[in-house]
Amino acid sequence: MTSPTELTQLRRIQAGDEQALIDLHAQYARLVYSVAYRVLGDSMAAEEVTQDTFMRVWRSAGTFDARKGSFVTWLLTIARRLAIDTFRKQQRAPVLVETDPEGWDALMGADEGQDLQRTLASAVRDLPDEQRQAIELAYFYGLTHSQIADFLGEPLGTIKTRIRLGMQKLREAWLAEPAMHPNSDDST
Amino acid sequence: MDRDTLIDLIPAYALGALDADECDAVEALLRADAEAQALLAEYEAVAAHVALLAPPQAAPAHLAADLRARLAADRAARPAGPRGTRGSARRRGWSMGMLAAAAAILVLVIAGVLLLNRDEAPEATLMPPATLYRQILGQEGASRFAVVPDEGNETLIGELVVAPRGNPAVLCMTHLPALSTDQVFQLWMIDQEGARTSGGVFTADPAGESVFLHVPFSAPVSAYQGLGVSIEPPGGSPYPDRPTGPRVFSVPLGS
Repeated sequence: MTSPTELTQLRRIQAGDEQALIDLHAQYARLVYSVAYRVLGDSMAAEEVTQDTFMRVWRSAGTFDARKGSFVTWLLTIARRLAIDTFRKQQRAPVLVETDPEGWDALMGADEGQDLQRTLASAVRDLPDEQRQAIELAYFYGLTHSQIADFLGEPLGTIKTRIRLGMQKLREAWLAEPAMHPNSDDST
Repeated sequence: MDRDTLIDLIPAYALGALDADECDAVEALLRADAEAQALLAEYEAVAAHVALLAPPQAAPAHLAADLRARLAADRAARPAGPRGTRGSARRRGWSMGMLAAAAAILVLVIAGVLLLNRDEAPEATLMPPATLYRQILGQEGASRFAVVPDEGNETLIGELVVAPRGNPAVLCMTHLPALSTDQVFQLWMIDQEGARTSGGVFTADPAGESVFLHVPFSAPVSAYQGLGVSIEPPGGSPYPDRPTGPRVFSVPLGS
């Protein structure tokens, strides 16, 4: 869920307060840059995507709707789309990387951890390799089922199943953390 | 496809992994099915966490300064006053357009850009650089490159914007260092072989906030590896192909 602080920052951005954007940048640049770098594998291109993402927030803060999802989901959607657009222009091949056993755990304190869930980060990392790879290829490179099947040399039905099962496991982990989804307030 | 099949496709839809025909079918379901919509919202929240599979990378320290430069450039390219909603902007209509033109002229005057002895490229435009800058920014596919200040000029910020076809290009600079009366800035364009050509000399009014400079590339930007600005004696470096004074900043243009 989007924190009250972030909602305030977005309102300040709408009012033209540049410092509010700088503050959000300080909080999320690392996450956005990491995603862009994962897609593009190039620091200059990742920097460009990172900055374009925050300038998009600057110009479009008024279009954010907290009822439709959290700020970080919205931010990452912008970043991911921009990175994938650049990746497609570059016409490079996707790259599969090893999972970092530490990942973001040590970094998810007061910053990125506001909206992203540490336990779900572990669940993502703990997915079976074949499910994780299929989901990564879709998320980071914008590949479709059939493109993933071609890339991995696996039957289309197999890829569909891997993505569905992997995402279902992640949803179960997400639902098990009531603080992270809006219906959690119903119990109070 | 029946409803259960389409519901099974929602996780992949949230990832953007559906091929076109399945995507159309799922979207048709989503338009009419509240339960499917709620499920999609859940999967979209879940999908955001896939970002955490990206190995953490430290964002380069200069990104914050670069963002400030972009904001300054954005501010300079917009008419003064609070940012209105789209509706209010529409209602203002022609008056906003006229204000924008006036603001562009004002920025140019206040910036105090003095171009001296500039080598004219064939594509040199007569449009004021601040106006050209704004025009390029509004073009789909325009490129932007950050200014990298040299030691002692860390407060300097700026960016180069380049039109989608690689030319024209405008350099926006804020907080240039103060010059003595016997000094000017000189712009250098460095091609892929490392050869330097002068882009002209200029000064900036210390009271001016942003300086806009048309960069007279004689080829698309991809033919260049970078830009540099040095401090030179009046009239510029005595050499046509190299600076003699200290560099103020560079603009790496990538490979």
